[in-house]
Amino acid sequence: MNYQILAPGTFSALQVSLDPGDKILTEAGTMAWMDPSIQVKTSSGGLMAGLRRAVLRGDSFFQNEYTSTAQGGKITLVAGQPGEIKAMELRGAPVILERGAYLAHTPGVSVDAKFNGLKGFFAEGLFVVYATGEGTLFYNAYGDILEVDVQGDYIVDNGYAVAWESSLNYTVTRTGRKIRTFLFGDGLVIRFSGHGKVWVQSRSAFSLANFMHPFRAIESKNS
Amino acid sequence: MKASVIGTDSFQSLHVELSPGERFYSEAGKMVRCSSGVDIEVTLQKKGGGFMGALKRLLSSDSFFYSRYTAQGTGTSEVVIAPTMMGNVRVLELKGDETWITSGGSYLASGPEITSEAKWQGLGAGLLSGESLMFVHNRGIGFLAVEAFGTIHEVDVNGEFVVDTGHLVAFESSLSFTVGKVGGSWIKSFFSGEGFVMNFKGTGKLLMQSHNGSSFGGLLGPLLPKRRS
Repeated sequence: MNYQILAPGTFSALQVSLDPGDKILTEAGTMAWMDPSIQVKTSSGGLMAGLRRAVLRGDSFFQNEYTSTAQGGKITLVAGQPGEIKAMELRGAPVILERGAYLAHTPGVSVDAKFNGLKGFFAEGLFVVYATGEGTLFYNAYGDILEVDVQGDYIVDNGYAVAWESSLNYTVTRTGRKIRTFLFGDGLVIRFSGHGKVWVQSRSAFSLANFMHPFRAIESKNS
Repeated sequence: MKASVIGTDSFQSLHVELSPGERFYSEAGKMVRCSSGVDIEVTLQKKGGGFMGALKRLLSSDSFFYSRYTAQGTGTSEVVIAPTMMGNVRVLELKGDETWITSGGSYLASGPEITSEAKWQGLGAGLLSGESLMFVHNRGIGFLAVEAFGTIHEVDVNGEFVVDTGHLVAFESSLSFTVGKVGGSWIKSFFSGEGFVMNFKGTGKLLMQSHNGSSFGGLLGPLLPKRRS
């Protein structure tokens, strides 16, 4: 198996080339185009794991497994939002992904939703995605992905965190103590401490949705 | 304090480096990430602010509140601020003898000595332009960062220049303007779909954005489920 990130930058797409015996596991709904030699098998990865993924992570229930019957069969995967796609080589140490950042992985990696405890209650979802094992993990973001090497403490707005190394401790808190901070301004942030890398995206889907909201038509009272 | 633009063209952000004790302001809720020693406070107050100032800012399509970032500790701190839309950020260094007027929510951040005051852009002009009723007048010494939807284009106006209201980002106060139509009658202007334009006059710099947020909103809004209020 080999891969190439097509048009890296604003409109990235991931192209994976598979030989017979190779396999790539993907987030459902991300296949954009593929050769006819590519075969798909949809699995929930075991009922409980699938349920947890669907109900609690907020992503789709099913994970797709792609194989090829011919040498060098190509499949292209794209996320919903414009932005970067990146690959990460995992060597055992787990990486944590925010909801929606997961795109695909090779068979040596195992991916599971994990209950984040109450500290995740105000976060984007109750659950984050844990990726462990050995292999390649593909993740995506809205905007550019910037790497921050945390040595000590660092703060990232909840809407912009993409992924981080599990060597970091983290808590979700408010930025200020005052109520107006919560009501009107900066919301929740993730406070990291320790040593490790954090990946941050440069745009927020929440901000865009906020911008779009006033453009929606208003429901009439008697309908 | 050092303010610079980071990121690729489509997704630029503002990066601010602070020494201990230094502070700056941004539109509330725009922070991406920062060093842990940075104290973040949401405030109505900014130089030349106050409650009435905040009310007027709302009418300028900017946020009611500012976030204030103050560096504490001993080392250099960093703060990254992101725009709402895809596109460019521009940092302007103000020397104190000019006023930059920002329109329609394009104010992103500024240094502590910059005053930002929302002013009526002229009642008729505001209502007719279909854009915000207020423009924000920024002056003082320090940096002023503006955000745009798409690419920022700069023009040195010497004489006259016409800009669609939805494509305006900021301009120097040495320019005067009137709100009008794109030639012909008002009815013709309405049916041409060009809406209202600003006719600038004088000498000064003008920043425009390649894309119009209201047009994009107008495209997507009707496709979304209706809202209750």
